[in-house]
Amino acid sequence: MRSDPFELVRAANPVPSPTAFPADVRARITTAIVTHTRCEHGGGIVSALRRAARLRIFALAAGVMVVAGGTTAAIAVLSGQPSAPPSGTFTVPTGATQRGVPGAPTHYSITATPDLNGGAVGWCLQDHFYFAQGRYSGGGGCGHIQLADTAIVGVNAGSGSSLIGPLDRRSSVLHYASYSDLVYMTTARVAAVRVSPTLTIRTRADPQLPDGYRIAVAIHESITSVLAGQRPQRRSSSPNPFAVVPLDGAGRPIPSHLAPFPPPREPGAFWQAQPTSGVGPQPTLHRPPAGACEIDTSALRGIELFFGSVVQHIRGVPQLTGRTYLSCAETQFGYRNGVDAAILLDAQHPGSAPAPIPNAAPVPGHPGIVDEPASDIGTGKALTARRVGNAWLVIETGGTVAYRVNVLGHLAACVHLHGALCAPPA
Amino acid sequence: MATPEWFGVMFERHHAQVAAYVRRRAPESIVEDVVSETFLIAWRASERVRGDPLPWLYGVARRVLANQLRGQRRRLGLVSRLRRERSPSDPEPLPGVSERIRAALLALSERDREAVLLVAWEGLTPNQAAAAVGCTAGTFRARLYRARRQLARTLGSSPVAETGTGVALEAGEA
Repeated sequence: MRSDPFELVRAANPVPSPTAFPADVRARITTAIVTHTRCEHGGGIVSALRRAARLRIFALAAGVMVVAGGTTAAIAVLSGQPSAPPSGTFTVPTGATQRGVPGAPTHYSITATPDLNGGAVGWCLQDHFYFAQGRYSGGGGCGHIQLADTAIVGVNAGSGSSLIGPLDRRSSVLHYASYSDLVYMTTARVAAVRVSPTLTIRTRADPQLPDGYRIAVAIHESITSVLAGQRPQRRSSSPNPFAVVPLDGAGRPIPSHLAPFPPPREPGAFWQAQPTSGVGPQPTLHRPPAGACEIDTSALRGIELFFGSVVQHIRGVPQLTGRTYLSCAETQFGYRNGVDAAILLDAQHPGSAPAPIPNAAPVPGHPGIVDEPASDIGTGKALTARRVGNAWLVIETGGTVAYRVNVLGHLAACVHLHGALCAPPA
Repeated sequence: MATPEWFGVMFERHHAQVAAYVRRRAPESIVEDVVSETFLIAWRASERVRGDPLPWLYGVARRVLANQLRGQRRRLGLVSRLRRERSPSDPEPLPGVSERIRAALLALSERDREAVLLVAWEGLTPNQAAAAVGCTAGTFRARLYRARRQLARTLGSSPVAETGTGVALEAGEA
């Protein structure tokens, strides 16, 4: 037995292996840092990061909440305001013409994309606010799924404020643009959502949504004037986004529960290419470890592997009722841009044909490859995919369509489900 | 000026290790906050990040973590004064570490403890760890030597020869 005290301390390491944050958390942190720092004063970014974290915690707590009024028999005429479109423009003057003033957001977009995290099931729902000079902010969450009693599949809400002027430090009053959004992704039978006694939003269809889902969006914008040294307060009248009642076409409440959080997922083994610190000598990985699904990047020269997750045994999630994907392998690597690659299976019945990638269009001249360019306009990231048997091999990255097609074409994939099914680089 | 692409790649490469650094020393509830602020500083002070950024990030995370814990202690103290109750206990340091090892580590000075942990848990070489804590390699080695001797006394184990301890301790570039 070794008696070196140093070895005793080393062996007592409470976290022997680093674990990456989930994709939505990583995106929220990097987006907040890169975008807010240039448009907020003082500690704005730190509070923005914490606001986002609080909203996430709130979402966790509310995940098991029974949607209010589900059994109420009252019948009302379906009314309410129409949903705003999933992408649109703001009308508040930006104020950004004044040098050094960040200005108000000019437009927004809301996206629903598959969760690519290895082992994950479900959809990511995110909002993006765009400012002048290419700046943007936003956030959201993943793990949105549909079960038998689910009518509201996903909820997202965000708010912010941005100085629109004046920059003159001697001024006693500052003007901020305040903006917020409230977003519901629902099943096809939901005609409207009642958020509060005074706010009902009628849902609308949208081609980017999966499985015939509908969306209800409310956008609020206003100008707030505050004394210098203060920050605009959150609207006290903001409704609780989770106290929502889904309504059918006749205005009747639909009994519904929000899906459990965290959602079901396949256990995935996390790996990273660089040796893990503090647990003794380890080799540098030059390819992702084996598992039930494999992504082979070896045909791409000059890449830098970062990390990923791979599922060891594929079981599926039979209790799902909506069509969604199970990511059985994810590999993140650098190849001029950061690239997130994943293999997506049908989550309910792995091995059966997966649902089409929502809103994806065939890439001319590249049979079998589809591209969904609007998945994240702010970061310039898009989703490009090709079929590997009854699975999708997808990448999410920036750059041009030609770049994405080139990267995707150099990847190989294997799915070990009922025997191995492998596809070489295209 | 760093680009968002540079920052994105640096974050993807190193955030898991920075998060592990924080988790080894503090409760899970503040891990995300500390990591966020660490990378915020990295983004704002990107011109200071040269060579391998990881030791530098550990150094920033150490200071951010100290500020967070200080703030938490102040808040707990204020709550206790307001309620005229016994002060709630501070967040448990080194969560998940056995009582024996924790006691031995907490008996070290903060500087000596950090020297040991950067090498034993983060796997840094002494030269990398010296860069992380902002001292010379010679000073760092002296801290490490002092800490090992005290650990040997506290844990009742025999000190080993300078050349006998694992890879990390002896793998310095110097």
